[in-house]
Amino acid sequence: MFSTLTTINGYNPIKALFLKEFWDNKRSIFVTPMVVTGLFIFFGLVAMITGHGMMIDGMSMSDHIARDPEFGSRATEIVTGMIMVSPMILMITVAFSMVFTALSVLFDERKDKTILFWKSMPVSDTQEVLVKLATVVVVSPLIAIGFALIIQFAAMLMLATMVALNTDYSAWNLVFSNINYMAVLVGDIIPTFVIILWTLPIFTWFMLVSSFSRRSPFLLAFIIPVLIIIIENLFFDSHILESALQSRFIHLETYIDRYDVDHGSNMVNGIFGLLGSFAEPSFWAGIVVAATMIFGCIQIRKRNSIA
Amino acid sequence: MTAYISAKGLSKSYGKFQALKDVDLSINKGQIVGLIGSNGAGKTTMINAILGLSSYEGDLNVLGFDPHSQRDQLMKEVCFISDVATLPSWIKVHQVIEFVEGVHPKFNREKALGFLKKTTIPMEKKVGNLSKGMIVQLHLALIMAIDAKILVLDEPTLGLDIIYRKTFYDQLLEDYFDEERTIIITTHQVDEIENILTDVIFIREGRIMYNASMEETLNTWKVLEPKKESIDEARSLSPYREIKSLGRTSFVFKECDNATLKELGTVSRLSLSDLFVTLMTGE
Repeated sequence: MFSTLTTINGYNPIKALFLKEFWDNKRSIFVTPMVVTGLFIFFGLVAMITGHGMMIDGMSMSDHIARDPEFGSRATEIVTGMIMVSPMILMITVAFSMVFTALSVLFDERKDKTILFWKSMPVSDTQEVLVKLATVVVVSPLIAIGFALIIQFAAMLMLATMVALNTDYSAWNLVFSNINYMAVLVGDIIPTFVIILWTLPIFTWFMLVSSFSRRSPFLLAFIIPVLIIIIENLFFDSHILESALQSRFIHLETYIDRYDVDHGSNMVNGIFGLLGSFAEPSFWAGIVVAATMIFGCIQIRKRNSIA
Repeated sequence: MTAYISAKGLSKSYGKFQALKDVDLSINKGQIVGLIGSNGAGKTTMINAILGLSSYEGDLNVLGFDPHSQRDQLMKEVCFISDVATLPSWIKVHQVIEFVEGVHPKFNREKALGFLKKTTIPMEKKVGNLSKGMIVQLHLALIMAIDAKILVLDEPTLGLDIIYRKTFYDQLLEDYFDEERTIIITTHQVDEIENILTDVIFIREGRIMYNASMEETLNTWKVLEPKKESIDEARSLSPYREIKSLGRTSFVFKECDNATLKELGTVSRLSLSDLFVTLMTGE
């Protein structure tokens, strides 16, 4: 299956473009999450062997069970929660690598002049830019979710092993039967893409900068908004950009809170509650801004050849 | 003759600098055109316009397409190798073949593999690990496997050693060129290509200075190396240019009767590079 996904037989431009982006960005979208996953499992095993239990709220599992007589009623929430947050470091790493990928996708090809080769092929700039966007905001997170599932599976096994070895409880009763598997899966997918859609204007801004920047897209991408915010504050006493940026994150927090409160058997519904944030006008304002940025990327790529 | 490329009043400015000034041009099916000019003369600007890589003013028609707005469709019929090595260094040889197969409806994988078989290029290596010569061979193999109408080569052999340069053009003529195709070549090494050209265009400061077929060029321009006693007589025939080198005098004639010249000394054809120098310094 994997090989039919990664080989090209005959004319199939969109697949070829996606594969090209994958080959080009393999390090940031595949190798990096793979390494983080490996490290997570490695240190998890080390922690198990050296006897450092996994900590929840600063207490080991056994302490929780010993101290909290009501652990039983909250067991699903706690155990599922542990499994859900286990790929946190991975997801943060992937968020950073998405930023770097977005900043380089339209810059590197101009810097190393390979754009002249890509442009010698019968694919339009629109196709190229849209595939690049999808690589950053769809392919990269999907690969990350794949690795997140590996981490979660490993975390589950390690947790079960620890319980079996260190407590009198059965791993089945305490761990496996207490995991809301659906919530774990939905919890990997929905929040990831809700956050990405909300922050789409930021990712597309990074791509826009990478499409016109002559030297360091990284610096420009951050200096321009910082300058705008400072100038706005000093001379116009306004905070339009600042609050627009904050709205990308603050709104989400409220929805994430909602699903944290809505725990227990409704965990899955709680996660789906995040989709409610799409009803906000500012979400759609963000999508319009993102679409404008992408339109800009396409126009600039049409005109620019070499950095 | 079918015109593949026609331009009328083609201009391009970068700010105040006019890189192309009101160029009229027609390139037909079955031609091999040498586009020759000094650095900054406008060669690459002209080629970029033809390839749809930049905007321009004026009328430009390439195979019925407007290159800038229809580049993606145009590239089904047009291939190019630009003056810089543009194959990505991170891509493996077999990957780049797959990629071109995926995006180009007129690419023939067997053909490309056939060309590559004759080389020592390993399929599993990354382009970045190949020698410059191999990269050009790879690029040429890819492009010759595409059934295109126009091939544009912008300084294709830059930085190659002489053996690769020779085989490059030989292969191009033997395995690729036919009367249905047109090839446009820009290069500094004029002497290397003059035997394969059917037409030549000189360009200076954004204008076309000279545009003629090789046949016409050879018939029109002659070099006379006169016998010592005939030097003055030759000079009286109003040569286009007088060349003195290593104590010998020779004259460049334009449109002069061959028989008359032969009486005065040895007549030979004017090489393209000499013609270039003559035209560029003469006026």
